[in-house]
Amino acid sequence: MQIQKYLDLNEEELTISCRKCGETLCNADENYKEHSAMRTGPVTDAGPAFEPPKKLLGQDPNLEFRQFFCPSCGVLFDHEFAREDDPILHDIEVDVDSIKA
Amino acid sequence: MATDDQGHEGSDVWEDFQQGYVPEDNLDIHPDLDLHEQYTKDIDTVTYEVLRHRLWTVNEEHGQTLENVSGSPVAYFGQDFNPTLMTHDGEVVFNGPYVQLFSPIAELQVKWILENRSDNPGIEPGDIFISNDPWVGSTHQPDVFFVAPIFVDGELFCWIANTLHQYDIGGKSAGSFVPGASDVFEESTPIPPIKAVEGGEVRKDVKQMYQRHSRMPDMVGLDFNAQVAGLQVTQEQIHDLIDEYGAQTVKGVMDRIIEDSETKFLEKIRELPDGTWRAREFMEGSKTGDDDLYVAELQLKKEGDTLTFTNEGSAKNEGSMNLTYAGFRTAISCAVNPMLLYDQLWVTSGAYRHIDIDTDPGTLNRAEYPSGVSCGGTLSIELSIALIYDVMTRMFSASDETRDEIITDPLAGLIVLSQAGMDQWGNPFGTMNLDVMGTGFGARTDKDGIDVGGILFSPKGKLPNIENNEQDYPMLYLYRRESEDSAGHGEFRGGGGMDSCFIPHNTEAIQTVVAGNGGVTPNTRGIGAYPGAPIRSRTVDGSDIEERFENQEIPGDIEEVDGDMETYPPKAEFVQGAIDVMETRSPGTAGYGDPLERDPEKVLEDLKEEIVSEEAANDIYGVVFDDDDERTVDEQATEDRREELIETRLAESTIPAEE
Repeated sequence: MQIQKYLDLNEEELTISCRKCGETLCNADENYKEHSAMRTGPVTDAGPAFEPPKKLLGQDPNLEFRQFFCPSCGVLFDHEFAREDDPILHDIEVDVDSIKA
Repeated sequence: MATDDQGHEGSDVWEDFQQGYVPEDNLDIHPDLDLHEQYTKDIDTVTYEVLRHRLWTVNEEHGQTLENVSGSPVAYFGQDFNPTLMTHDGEVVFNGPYVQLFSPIAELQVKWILENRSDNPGIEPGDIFISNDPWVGSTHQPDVFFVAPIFVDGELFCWIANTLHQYDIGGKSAGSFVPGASDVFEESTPIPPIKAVEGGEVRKDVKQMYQRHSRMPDMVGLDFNAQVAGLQVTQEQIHDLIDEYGAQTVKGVMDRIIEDSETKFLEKIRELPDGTWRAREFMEGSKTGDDDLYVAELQLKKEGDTLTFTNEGSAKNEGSMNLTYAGFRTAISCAVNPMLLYDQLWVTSGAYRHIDIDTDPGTLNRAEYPSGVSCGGTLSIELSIALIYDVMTRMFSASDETRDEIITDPLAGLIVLSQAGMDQWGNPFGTMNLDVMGTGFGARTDKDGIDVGGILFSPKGKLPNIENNEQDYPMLYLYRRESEDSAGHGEFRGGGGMDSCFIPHNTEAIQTVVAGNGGVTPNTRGIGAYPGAPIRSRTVDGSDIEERFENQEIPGDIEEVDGDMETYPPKAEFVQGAIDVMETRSPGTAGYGDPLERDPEKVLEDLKEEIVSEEAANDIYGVVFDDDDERTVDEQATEDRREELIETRLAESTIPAEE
């Protein structure tokens, strides 16, 4: 079952894998991003149009730009902005029990 | 809570005013009000389709009447209004094609009126109620609802409503956006539903009380007349339809329209697995002068046929940034309409039968009284729409039946620019600059977004011509242009935003209020791609623009102008002096898919169109061009560069679970 542009959920093995290269990342009930290759950088890494937060707010809110890649083929799964202390967002959590049923 | 001698209580009005009105499944309506609940299901397909489209047309003409009678640029350029047709108990039959989020919220107004006005002052033929109370059913106070019942043979048959954003409805800032407010007492006083037209006659006392709220009572009075006219024209047309087809048939068509929408919605979500999807974004400052960051979180749980939204982790309501329950509820339609129910003429009420909202009161996306909410209808609602898109597009990714419906989140931010002062003829002016409409439109799973495509939930919303703005206000534009690198990079890139640059003209200064969000980080992130560029406002103060004009030179970029450059936070108030050059950027939208998978020829096309810079083409798309006059793609160098970027990605990454 495809659950995202670059992610498959194997309904028999209950695992999540990369659709580009087939690399198995984790169990289906886990956060795939915890098992991805994560690159963390300043907000300005999001592109030339981005400004340093301190320039706009007068203070640094410790925001960062996180990108999540397949640890095997390097395709970009997704990104998120977060404060340094924010946990990695578990943004896709398919109900494994409903699949089993 | 009062109980009358027939056991009627209504809703708990003071709890509604505190936390926001949430109607029960069974409304407590005074028994003296007779409802027209009978209808026929025996309607042939041709009659159904003819009547369905007649009702659509009647509702759209309702909007055209508003536009024609109102003298406000907010109506005729911004199309910041919408008409709504509803059943006797408030379910929406048709949204108009203008600002669509005004319609699902009209349902709350009707249900509240049924529960709390059916005994006193009563609901009678020819009545019109007005309201702008965000804790009953408005996105913010400038969006004023006019709501009318239609009776057939003494029974309440259906409701019609229109909503029109008012030029100014009071509060401490002109235009009634009060980004500096600490609470609602610094804003326009909310008006819960009151009867403004009784038996077809305008109540002068109520109209004067309403106009008295505004700095511009003449304009508000014109709009009052336009809103009443829209309802009265529509009342006549509905009665004509009933005379032609019979009440039972017209009501039967209304019922089937909603049932069809429910069926379509269920067909699509039943293809999806159960699960939970989560999103997190940020609001920059709760009010002007506040440089803190506030988190907004959203969870969407799908369980069988039910979608439940929660907002665990969202910041408490503070300042002016907040959105009430009504605003959040209606925001959901902005995602459901275009992605799931476009073939149902955007009828969302069937979907709402399966949507639960279990958000925590006292938060920025479910504000409690008396927190400030005047910016809720622009900023928090846009933030909420972005969060809803984030979770819904990820949910739609899990089925072949819904994946292709994805539009990457359309509202990366919003920059609301209020301008006021003396115009070129020496008269006071105040406006919301409608350059805000120049935002990008989201990417699809197989195509790019639309550059400066407009605001998704306002299909008929227009971006005024520069000449219109220069005619109406003391402004002179230096340029508008598609903003380079504002489109979110991806295999299919988002739609780019717009830069607007102008100076005051034939006036000493313009008082400027920027009420924005999505200036540090955009609110949207697309899928597997890069975000669109944030909003931006900046000025070059004390510029050399007059000398440039004397030399017959018009700058094409604000950075060419000499002077003191200042970039503002997303919420700011300042004076634009006569020679201060100002530029605003409306945001771009996020992309879909890894930019390293984008066709290099498309990147070249974007480079030539100045949508993408050489820097982004090389560093984000990994495309290398031959160094010749024609600028062609160097295929081998591009392949090598992309391999290098992938190696860099992995070399600079760690795996969190292994840390």
